[in-house]
Amino acid sequence: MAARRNKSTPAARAEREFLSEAEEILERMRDDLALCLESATADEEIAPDVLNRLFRSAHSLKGLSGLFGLGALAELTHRTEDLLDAWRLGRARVTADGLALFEEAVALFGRALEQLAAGALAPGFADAVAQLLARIDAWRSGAPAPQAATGDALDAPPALLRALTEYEEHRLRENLQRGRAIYVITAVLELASFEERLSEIGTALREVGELLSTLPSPGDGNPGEIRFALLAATDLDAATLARRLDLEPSAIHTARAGTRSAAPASPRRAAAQPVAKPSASPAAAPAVGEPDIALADRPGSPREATDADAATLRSISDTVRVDIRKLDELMNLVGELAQERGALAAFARKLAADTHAAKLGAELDKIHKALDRKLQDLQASVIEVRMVPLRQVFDKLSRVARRLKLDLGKNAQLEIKGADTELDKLIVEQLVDPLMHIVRNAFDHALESAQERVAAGKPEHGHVRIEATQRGNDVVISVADDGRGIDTARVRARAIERGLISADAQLTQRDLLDLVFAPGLSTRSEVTETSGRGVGMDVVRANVSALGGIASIDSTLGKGTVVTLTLPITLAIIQALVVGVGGERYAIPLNSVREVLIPEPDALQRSGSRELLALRGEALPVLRLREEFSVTSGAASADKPFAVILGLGDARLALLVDRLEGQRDSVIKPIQGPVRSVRGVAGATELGDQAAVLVLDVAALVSSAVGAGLRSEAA
Amino acid sequence: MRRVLVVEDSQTMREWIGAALEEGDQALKVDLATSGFEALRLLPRQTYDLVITDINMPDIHGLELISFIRRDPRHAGVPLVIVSTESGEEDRRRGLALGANAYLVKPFAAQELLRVVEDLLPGARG
Repeated sequence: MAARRNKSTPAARAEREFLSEAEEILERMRDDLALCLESATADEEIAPDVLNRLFRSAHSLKGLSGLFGLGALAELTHRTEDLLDAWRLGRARVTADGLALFEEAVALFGRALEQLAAGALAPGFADAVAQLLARIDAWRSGAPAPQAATGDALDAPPALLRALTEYEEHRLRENLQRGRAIYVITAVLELASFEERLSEIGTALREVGELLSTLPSPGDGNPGEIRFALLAATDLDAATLARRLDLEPSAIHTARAGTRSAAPASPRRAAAQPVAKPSASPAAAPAVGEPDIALADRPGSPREATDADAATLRSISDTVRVDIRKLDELMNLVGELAQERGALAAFARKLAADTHAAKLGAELDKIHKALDRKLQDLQASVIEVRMVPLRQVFDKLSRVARRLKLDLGKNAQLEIKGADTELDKLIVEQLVDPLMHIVRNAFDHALESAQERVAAGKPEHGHVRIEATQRGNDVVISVADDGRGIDTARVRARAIERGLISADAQLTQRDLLDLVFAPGLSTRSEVTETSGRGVGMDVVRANVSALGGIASIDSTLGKGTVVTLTLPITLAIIQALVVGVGGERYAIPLNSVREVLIPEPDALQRSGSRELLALRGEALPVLRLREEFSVTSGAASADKPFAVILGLGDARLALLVDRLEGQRDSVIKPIQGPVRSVRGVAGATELGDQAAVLVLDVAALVSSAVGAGLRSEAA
Repeated sequence: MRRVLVVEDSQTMREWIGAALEEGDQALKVDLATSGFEALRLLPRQTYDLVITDINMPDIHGLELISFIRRDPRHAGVPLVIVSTESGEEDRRRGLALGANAYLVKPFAAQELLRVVEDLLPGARG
């Protein structure tokens, strides 16, 4: 058993899990808190399930922080758990003040986890906890504690009632007080597959009432089956409930008839056979009826017998959590393998060119091709493992949007499409902040108040739509709102005021909109709480371009704004075009190469300080790689340079190089040390011949060329 | 070798308990279940010498599991340990009433856990 795991101390092993689990719990708490706030705002009762889940989350966090000796955090989680316990057990009423205090506690948890991720709890954390706890104490001493006991006798199996937790007992009392009927539902299910059917019944029950408890009992001597008794509360009568749950009426026993249901209760008929198995009427009760018959002649399915050993696995689960760094390592290895393959290909070509060895060369080439196919499959599989759906980010965004709606009092609708679109996990993580900023902007700045909207002849409720789609090797994410739009006249005025452009600059609408991404330009003078201070669209663009992507914006005054992010699917392995300038070589990610051509000499023109390439009636900005990186080695620029047309989103750039050296697989590795900050370099890669070359950062080159264009037009 | 089933939904806590048990003096084979449902699937396939369970879990909780085990002829006599937090006092009491043999209040030291195991499984030193 020990061999299956690394030898290290239990504590060290557990610590690795702690932060990621704590973060998951916190995410769940934030979700549930948002649900509570929503219910409170709508003046609705908070769902008991939500309160109970919050209690369990606080409980788990408490256990974890205690295990790691995090005193202040343990104290905070402990008291939060107490508060939630009182709420879920009905010992205290959930009030707006109480929720506000709880919200602060959740915010403190978030701070604690951030601090722990950075090393340790900050010195001030304990004080912050003490202050909040003092306020919770003051508040709770004034809070009333309603509780009335209703202990009517129930006609239910004693084992079921004895196994109720304090919380479940409270929920039972609540439901009795409301006059709901209480039922005991019996289901005999196959051991191998009970979860699915049970969760179906649970979901159906929650739609019409509440599932209070789920008690398993050993099957009647049949090892392949398991029996469940469910305690449920609803306003429905037994027959209707049976239909809703797709069960035989005999599977439902009335423990107490409802006192407020419209339909006359007819409990005794069902009570005649309390926990009897459904009779042979498979059409009406397939899921429960079947195991009875089917299992009779196969005691314990064969699969289970052979899997006896597998059953001792420490944990049976279809998924494993893997450190992304391990995937990076794997990815690197695969990439390096791909480069070795390149060397093999070159050798095969060499052999084929030799008249004496041509036959061997052809054979080697065959082997190489087979290897190449397998490698491509391997590469694709490894990349696939790194892919995660955008859903997790989008879920966060919708949570933020819910909060913003409450905070800003704007009743807007958020629409999300394409949440299943997948991207490299690392990219997805880096996208959270930029997207969050864009969504906040949309709610905070772009959407007008209801009155303004009505006055402008728009629907009262605003609309924000987040959509992701895959296009080839890119994923395009857009955030569109139907708000006030960007006033380019104001942008222009502000840019002039800030010295970003000259007063007589001739700029297209598009150029003006692009200025929104320029550092130091904010079109709203007041900085609101929601959008925060100091983080602007320039940071969004920088973050996105660090991921090899591009951010663009389109807007119509009075109609709305669309911010579009275009991102590569993965960062890890790229197909690269290797180009040469003088004695230097550079790699360009192939997904941003649109075409390569040898321009006619007169196609290159000067316009002021800029050089342009005329291509099919369009003038593209030109960048000479030799000048950009000050290459002095080798012969002076070739007379007939190659123009590599780079494109990201709609922006294009002609990069002039001396030579093309072919296409390679490469793994981008980040560079440490002084080169790291060089603009236009994304990293380094090794080619098959062991030479390291720099990988160009196309996003930075394109945006610097486009930016230079703006500046020179302004000059 | 004695066989122990640990039922705990928190991954960190589960791994920690498992590791603490395996690295103690006792020769124990430990199965970890991530939920009450998983425990229900494991129990018919194995005979356990000890079961350690959390109370607060999402699908079925510890009390329901304890009740199940005590009514299961195969495991009715197995020693049962509850691990829960101090706020779970009432539920812990109910667990003992259902037939659990001991409880530990989280957080506890590995030594405390091993002492309880030694009490319930005497002479199992390997």
